[in-house]
Amino acid sequence: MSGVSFGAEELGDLPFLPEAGDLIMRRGYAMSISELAENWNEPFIRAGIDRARSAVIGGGIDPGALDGMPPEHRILSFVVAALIVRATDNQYAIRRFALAEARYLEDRVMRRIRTNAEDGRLLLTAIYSRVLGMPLVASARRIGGQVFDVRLGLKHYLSLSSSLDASRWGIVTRAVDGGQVYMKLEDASRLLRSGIAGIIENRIMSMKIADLPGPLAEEASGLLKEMARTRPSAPAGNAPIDRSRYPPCVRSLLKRLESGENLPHSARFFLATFMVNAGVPIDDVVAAFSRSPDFNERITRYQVEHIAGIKGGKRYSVPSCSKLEAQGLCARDETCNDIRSPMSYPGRRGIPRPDGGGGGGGGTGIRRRRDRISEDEL
Amino acid sequence: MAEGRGLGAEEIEFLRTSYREYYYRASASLWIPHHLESREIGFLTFDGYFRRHLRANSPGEFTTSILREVPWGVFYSVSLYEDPENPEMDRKGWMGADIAFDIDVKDLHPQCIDEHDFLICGDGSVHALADGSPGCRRVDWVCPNCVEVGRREVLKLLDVLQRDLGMRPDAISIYFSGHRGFHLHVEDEELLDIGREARAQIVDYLTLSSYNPGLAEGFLRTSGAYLDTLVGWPRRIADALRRRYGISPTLDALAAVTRGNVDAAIEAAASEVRVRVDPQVTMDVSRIFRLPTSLNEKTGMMKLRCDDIVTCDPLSDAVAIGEEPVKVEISYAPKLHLGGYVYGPFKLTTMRLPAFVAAFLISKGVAKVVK
Repeated sequence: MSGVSFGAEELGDLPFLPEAGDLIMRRGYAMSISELAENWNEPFIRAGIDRARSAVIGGGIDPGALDGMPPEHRILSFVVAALIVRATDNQYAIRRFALAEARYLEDRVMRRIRTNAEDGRLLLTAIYSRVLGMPLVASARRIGGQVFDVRLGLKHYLSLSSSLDASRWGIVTRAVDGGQVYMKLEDASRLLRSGIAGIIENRIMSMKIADLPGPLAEEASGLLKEMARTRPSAPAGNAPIDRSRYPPCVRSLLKRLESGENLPHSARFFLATFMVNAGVPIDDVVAAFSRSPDFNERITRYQVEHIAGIKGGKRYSVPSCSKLEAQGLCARDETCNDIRSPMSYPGRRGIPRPDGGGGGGGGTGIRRRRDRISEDEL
Repeated sequence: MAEGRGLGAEEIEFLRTSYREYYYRASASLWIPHHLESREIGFLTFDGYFRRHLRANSPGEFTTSILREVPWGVFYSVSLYEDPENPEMDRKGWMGADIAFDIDVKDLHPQCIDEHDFLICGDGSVHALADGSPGCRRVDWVCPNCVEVGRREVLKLLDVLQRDLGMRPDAISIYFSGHRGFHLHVEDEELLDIGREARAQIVDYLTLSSYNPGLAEGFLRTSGAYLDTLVGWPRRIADALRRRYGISPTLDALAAVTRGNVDAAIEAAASEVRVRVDPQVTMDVSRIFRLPTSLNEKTGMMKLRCDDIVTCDPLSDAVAIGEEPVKVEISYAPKLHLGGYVYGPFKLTTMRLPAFVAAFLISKGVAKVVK
């Protein structure tokens, strides 16, 4: 695949690639960061400012805003947006931007697939090979009742899917043969997201912005202010519970969450059930997830309320220690004694428990109900 | 640990001497992990202490330390670290890990376990597992059936790892643990850096722990002609159903033959198909693992490489301690198959036995050295 090069239209959707930089040079847009600031009235600058804001604040990029723009302008708008986000020097903003950009690319690829499956497949395999360095191979193989379009090596599949909901993306749910995971184009397209987000994040982190021109710096500080205004605060000061009394598994996951890490679905589900059952107010549970780069308050609130039994009428119990062990989430230390549920953690004595909450449980009940919770958020 | 098994100074001395002799004899052929200098080494001492976070910079240094310390158990990390000696796990600098699987025959619940495992209570009385009371100590035994049951599970594991997950046969090594289980190591540089979540997914695939009948039905919802195109565990489930009912197991055919009880039929087939590995061993990359060719403190037998799992005869080939007779007083022992012969059963008897049998019985805490 290394011989395949992307056309200008495709590079407009892959603005983070070095080839995209070459394209804007070839089309006469070679300019330094300070020259960018001198062209502040260009349409791509406005598009870049909007791009950064809608990604970081809104969690997504409006495809309509970029439709119809020539590829070099789409690329430049990305560069402007990336510079602004880089200038915030805020890990949350950078991750959220990267994830929104990856989603945007995924949407563009899906559109291509829907318009022309073969065309979409070619683009998808090219992105996997050239951008992720993972050969995605056309297969058209029938396995049981389904025909799969492509296959991906197991190691690559695992690296892209391990942060996703195992009940949908776990290899046990897939057709696996000879170290290859067989997929339909739509799934292969969705799977791109985490890999692409990582690449964009690295690309942004590698940007050097020593002498930031005034307008860019102003946009960055404006973005930070808007984030502070719109983003729910972390629960540290709000939670009524002394966190040192949480079991080590919960403390460790909260720490990872607060550092801006995208936790796997199983970890988020556990944290939410634990906090809900420990009597943490819904608002504070929702706020705890606000540092997650893919945070969407509306969806998170819906799911936390679902776990709490406010929606759906069924309250979810906290997974047992053995279930957490099986999921790789147990961080048992000597303070745990022989507890079987995180809710029995010795330090938890005195934590208010709402009616009917807590207890061990877990097991298949959770597994069966879990499919009602979508994989993306929490 | 020694106290729990009631080992006295004489027994410890006998074992230590036997281990020392073995390690001197085997020093040139001790198995050395690749990337040794990046591994954490752990020694279980005859005092019952676990010394972890050790490091060996060369095979010579490693062997010398084993000969000097004569540990009761020798362990190494499946993980590679920048600083294996650092006692803080998150400061060791994880660089990757082999993939390890542990099949413990106890988890496979063969009937023989209820027949030969037993409890020794405080007053020295011996009871069947079902008759225990608090304070009694369980003694695990091993018999040829345990080995066969473990061997069958290893063959299932190998099939999934190679056929489904595409692991290279030359990267896979199979070991008898020296007690009552098998270890399987995958040493593939390509797979070193897969993380904990990915390992958890592999375990889930093997054990089908998050599987549900609905998932299998999704694969079986097809016409008979396409059943042969199934791959992976759904194919194994289809094969098991075909064997069980003698039909081509499409959902419609299954519904007819099971009178609508499709879920139960699939569940039974899944139970046959799932590979029972210990999930923690594979997922927890911070663990240390018994060193191949080292002696197992539970039996005095060595962790033995099985080049051919079908013909491997661990209860003979894993015998590592000498044959010279040792006089022991045995409180109780079921029949023991070791080194090609059968010993016992024994009850309140004193006799001379080959050192490797004496070491087994002493390690199990059911025999004492008689001077």
